[in-house]
Amino acid sequence: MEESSKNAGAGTCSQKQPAVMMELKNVYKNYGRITAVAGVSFQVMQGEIFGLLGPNGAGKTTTIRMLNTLTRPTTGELYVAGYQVAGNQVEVKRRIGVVPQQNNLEKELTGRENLILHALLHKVPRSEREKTIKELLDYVGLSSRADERVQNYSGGMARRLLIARALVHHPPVLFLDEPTIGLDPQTRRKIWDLIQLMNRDGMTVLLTTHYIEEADSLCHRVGIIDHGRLIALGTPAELKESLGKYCVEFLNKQGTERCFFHSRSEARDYAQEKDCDTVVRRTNLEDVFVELTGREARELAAK
Amino acid sequence: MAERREVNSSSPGRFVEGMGVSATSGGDGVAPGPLHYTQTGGLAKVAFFPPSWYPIIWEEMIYWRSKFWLYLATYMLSPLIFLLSFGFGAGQRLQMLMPGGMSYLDFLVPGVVALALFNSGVTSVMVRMFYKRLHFKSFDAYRLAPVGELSLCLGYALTGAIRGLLAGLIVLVLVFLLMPTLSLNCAFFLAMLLASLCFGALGVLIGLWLRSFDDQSLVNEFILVPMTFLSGTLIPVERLPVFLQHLVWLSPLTPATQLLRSTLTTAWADTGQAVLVGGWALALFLLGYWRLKKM
Repeated sequence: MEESSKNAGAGTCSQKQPAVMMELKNVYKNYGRITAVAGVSFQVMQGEIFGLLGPNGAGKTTTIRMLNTLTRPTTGELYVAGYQVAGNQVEVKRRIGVVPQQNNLEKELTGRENLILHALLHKVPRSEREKTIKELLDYVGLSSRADERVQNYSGGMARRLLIARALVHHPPVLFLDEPTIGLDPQTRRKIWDLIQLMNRDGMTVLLTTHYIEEADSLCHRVGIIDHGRLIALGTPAELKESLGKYCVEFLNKQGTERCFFHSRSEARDYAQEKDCDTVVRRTNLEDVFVELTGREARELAAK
Repeated sequence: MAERREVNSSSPGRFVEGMGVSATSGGDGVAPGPLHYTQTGGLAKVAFFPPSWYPIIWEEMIYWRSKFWLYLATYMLSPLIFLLSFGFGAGQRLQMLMPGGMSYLDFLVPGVVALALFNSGVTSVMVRMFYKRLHFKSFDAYRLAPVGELSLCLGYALTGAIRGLLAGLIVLVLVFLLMPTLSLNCAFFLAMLLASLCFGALGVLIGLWLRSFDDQSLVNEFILVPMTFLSGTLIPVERLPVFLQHLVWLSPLTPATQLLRSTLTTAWADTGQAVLVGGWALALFLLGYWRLKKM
């Protein structure tokens, strides 16, 4: 069902040539002797939801911070919304919205006051300010709690307010750094709906996430980054196909083993040969992620 | 499930000009060729008023609204202690320290006003920036807004200056209650304004340098406390050990105190001290701006 809807979409848009909204060209970022980003290059097209995946410390947040002007690259070029980031920070800032990983709302202010503050910072004309804020509060479902202090908000409410705040100045590009981290499944799905709605309205979205199913279900294209390098790039379907459409999973003494096959019959034949319990299923994006980045948890590997 | 639109990842980009999401979405074909970029705008209209530093002041006023009584009590307490203990308590005995037979209470009042400007101006903006940068991370939200570093520095320096001025005015009210014969003049208020701008700029600079709670303690112990007691606020500079008499001129609080004292006693500003305070204000502001630029 999901595959068929994607193909249908591809068919309708195949004649269009989307514009480039973001580009990184051979970007490096060093912190002393540590290289956080090592020669990353990719483009994000207009109207795309692009997901950046990677283990902890892979360089995702540094990449986003370089695109949104907060961190300067050591070398390389970055472009956002038609402007080279170096030398055009203010122009870039006018065209981007950023939803950070950490809740950095002003806790002493109410939800509405937080939005007013950002409307003032982005110089939203007074005539539009009130209307825009009202619309955004409705959009994220916070109208009834808008005049409460943010310190009383739940994690999900704060996250929705962060999204509303990022949209106050109608940016064409939105960065979301781990937008659903720490949220319950219901709230996570609400955030997914919001991201899809914004994208439907023409917004280009770049998000980082640890939740692979989030990238699989939301993103048009995905880049996997590890040790500061981009190691895979493509649509979720392309990445899964590169491994094999079907996966045979079984448990042995070394742990869970997975083997990948391009056809169901090959997978089934292989499973029947094994003298242990096996599962035959479709390959998912998490399989791709684990195969490319390794199985060892990064915190353990670092030790 | 929501409809998903596929994007052709391999095709070269096309060049589009427009403003805002609605104007740029869904534009059709342009010839392939060398890579171009979409130049799109955020808001179609951008207001030129209020100035870029205004939101920082606006936020400060919101805090004032919610914590007015707490701030009032905080600003009154330490000046009151200084006035009662040094002025009305040990004042008679400290009279002998006064050069030229000046009354110790007349000497003390501008010193306590200077301390109020200094402590409230520096500490408020320093602590606010420290927590915003390192704890709540909300300073990033300011840095992501299209506000230049100059406006950011100015906004924070002005919030420090406003807090300092309010604390100074509260002290003046207290002094009037204790010394109804005190006469004030315009030059004194202008000197207060200049000094509070200087201390606001110092607060920004320290707030941008702090990296941890330990740094905050070090700043308190090695900068703020020595400046409080050695800058001619409570004891005349001439009565300090000789090496300190020169060293204390490295503190902007010293000329600020002298300037306030000269305007209060003579109704005229000591031009040399005013230039020194203005110079300190400019230098501290530019250092803060440079620091923010480097971040």
